[in-house]
Amino acid sequence: MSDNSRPLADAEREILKCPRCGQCRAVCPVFAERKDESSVARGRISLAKAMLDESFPVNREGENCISECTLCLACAANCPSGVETEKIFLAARAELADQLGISTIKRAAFHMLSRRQSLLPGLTFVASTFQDIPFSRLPEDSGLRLRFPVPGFDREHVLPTIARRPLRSQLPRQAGEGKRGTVAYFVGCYDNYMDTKAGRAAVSVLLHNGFSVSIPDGQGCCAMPMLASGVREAALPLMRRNVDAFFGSDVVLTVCASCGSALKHLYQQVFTAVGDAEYAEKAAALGERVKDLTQYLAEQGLRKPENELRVRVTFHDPCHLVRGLKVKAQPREALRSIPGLEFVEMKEADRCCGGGGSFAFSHYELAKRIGDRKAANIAASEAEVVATECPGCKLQLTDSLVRQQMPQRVRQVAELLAQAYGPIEIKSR
Amino acid sequence: MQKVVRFANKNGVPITPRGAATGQTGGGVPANGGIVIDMSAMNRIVELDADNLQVLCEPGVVHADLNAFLGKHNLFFPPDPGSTKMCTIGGMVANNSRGMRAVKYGSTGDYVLGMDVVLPTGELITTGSVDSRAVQTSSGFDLTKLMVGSEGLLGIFTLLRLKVLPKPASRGLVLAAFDRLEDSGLAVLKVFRAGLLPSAIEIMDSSAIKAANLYKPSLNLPDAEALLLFEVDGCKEAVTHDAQRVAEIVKEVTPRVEWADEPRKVAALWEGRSVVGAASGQVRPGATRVYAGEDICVPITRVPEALRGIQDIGEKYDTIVVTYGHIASGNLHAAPVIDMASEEERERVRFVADEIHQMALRLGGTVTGEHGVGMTRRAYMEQEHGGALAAMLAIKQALDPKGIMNPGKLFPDQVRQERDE
Repeated sequence: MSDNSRPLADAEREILKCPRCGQCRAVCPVFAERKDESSVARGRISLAKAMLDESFPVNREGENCISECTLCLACAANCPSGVETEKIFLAARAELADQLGISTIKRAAFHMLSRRQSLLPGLTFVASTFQDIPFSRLPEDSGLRLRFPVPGFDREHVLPTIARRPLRSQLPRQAGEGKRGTVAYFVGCYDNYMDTKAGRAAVSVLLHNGFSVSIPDGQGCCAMPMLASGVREAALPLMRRNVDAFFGSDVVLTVCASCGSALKHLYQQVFTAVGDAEYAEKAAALGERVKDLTQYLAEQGLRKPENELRVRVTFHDPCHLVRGLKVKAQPREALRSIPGLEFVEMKEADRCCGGGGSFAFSHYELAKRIGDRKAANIAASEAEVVATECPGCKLQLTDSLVRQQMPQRVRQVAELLAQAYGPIEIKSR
Repeated sequence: MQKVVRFANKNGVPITPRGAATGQTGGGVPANGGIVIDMSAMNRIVELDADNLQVLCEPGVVHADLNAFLGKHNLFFPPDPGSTKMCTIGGMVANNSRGMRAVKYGSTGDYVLGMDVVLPTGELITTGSVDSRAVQTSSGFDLTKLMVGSEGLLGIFTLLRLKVLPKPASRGLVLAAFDRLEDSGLAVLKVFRAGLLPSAIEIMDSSAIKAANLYKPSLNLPDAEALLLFEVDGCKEAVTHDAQRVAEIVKEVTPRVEWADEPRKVAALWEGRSVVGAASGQVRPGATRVYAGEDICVPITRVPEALRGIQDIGEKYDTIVVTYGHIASGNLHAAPVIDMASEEERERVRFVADEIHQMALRLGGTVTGEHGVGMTRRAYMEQEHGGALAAMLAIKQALDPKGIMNPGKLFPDQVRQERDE
């Protein structure tokens, strides 16, 4: 048997549960492009097992195979044996990061997010001021593209615009005095530092629905990027801070499916794996209170917006929303509540867009191919706008649409709702 | 492909051709090391000759993809394995797989008209007559039939010429619950005696019913010793007529019968059967369904006896065994559910499998109805085939004198040792 201190040892039971039926081959977006056993859950699980029993070395070849996965959870959702593949893959990544280390860029970014959070507003201000030098802006603020080649980055890749001021520094600690109670809002990095409009829209929607919104200090990055890269030591301080920041909040809402899924499931799983019983218990309690914005509004009763939006909209299910938080109908109901909006379902709406957090950067060629399939489905739906409920998906969908020179725009559900409700004042900090 | 095979043949390197590796027998596992040729990316549908009812495709085409393509032309490839979404046509041919509709439509082999095969010595041949588009032939030895079910031991398929059929317009379903296992067998016989040929007749035993209900409580399958699902297909009028007739006949055996010909209702009833393979593990939390003794086939009249036998073997070894299968062809899928972390249980399940296989032979059946022999059932080959095994080995040696193609499969160890000596 294996060495219990290794991250993979903790996932051994899940590894053994895989009966190697190959059902994952039918649903894996990466396998659909690669047609290679090493790029599907069954192959990765075999590799994880081989790394665990040391019949295969922990090396870069293995890392390529384990990292070539968007963590879309389609394999787990369709696994007849209920294998929790995410647990295996994250443990394998932790094992690889422990033994092989991670790239300098990732290390620097994680260090900043995890240990130097206070420097980030200043840094984003500088970055925001000078971003137009290396980057050109795409129409309608959809993002940036490099003006000149930089090693390791594809010039074609659409990158997010950096906000001048982080959203959290714009928002009060408590917004509104709604009669329907107070909800806590987990902002997440993307909406905080980049797409502040979407993050602000979420607050506006809650105010319109009669809730007051608390935006606790102390919250930060959800730690999903670190966990996905296997760097648990950078993730743990952030996770503890977030758990503490939302201690006592009755309900914690997010419009980032990945943040939501991490808060809801991964925190407890990882604290348990590293033997932090105290925080595992706290994280379990937090997990029960985490909800997607549209999910919560559906439960509480969504106030119907007054303004018309005459637009044809389809919805892309973020993997971490539909399979992570198990939310599918609610965002569609929210969209359908908007007067004048015509909702159309696209084919394979719940198939991964190819984003997968940093996957789209580390595996851009694959991400493009997966994204092309999504773009084709969007085109076939004849929608004018693609709504989604995850900033990571928004970025990847934008990349696919811009690359294909398609006219459709991507919006978060909250952005469309906020537009249909009309403006509302949010006091500044 | 020829270059690889010639190299391997010259240097005595084993080759294991591999489809989606959804097989249950280790057929795609390189038992003796060497080269694995994964056919997954050879997945083009090369030509549809709709008027001549045939399609040419590469072996890596996924079964469901082929039928999705054919469906657009109102055609279908009838063999329908449970692993349709991921298994490849090449793998189906290599294992002569069947699936739920075999009772009416037969096996994969019945639909293979010809193929291009790279022989173990590197020659590329076309079976089923070169350049032929005929749907039958009596010309020469039937090498196509020889290649079907050869499990990668006689060559590597590179192109398959398959017969396809017009797609039935509609389907109907009859669901019947039996308080006594034995009555289910009687119901099947009565349906046949009445001159009806359903497109599928599936059985689930009490453990399979329980597993399906646990996996998906909304199914709400009735509690019974056995559940039968009869599927009829054809034009709408015929389906309604046949479904009603089957229901009437089965009602002579059990009062608990319902039927449907409305597509959504049919899909809802059929779902119970379609999830059971996946659901088997649910009967024991944390445990895994393993593929051991999973494919016996017995005479139709002895199915109830075999089902009881499997339950008894499970009890003897204190192992839960979920059983379901294709009752009309006597093909039963036993699914032992064990804790894979327990070495003792992993060892114990081998005895379960062995007794199930022995029982099948005792009842006048075979150890495998549609999955093949591979690594896991080699031990029974002499017992099952007697002198015919030596003839199989002679064919193998004639085509593959160096024994490079998928060694460690099909032939029992002692036979291989004799050959090696």
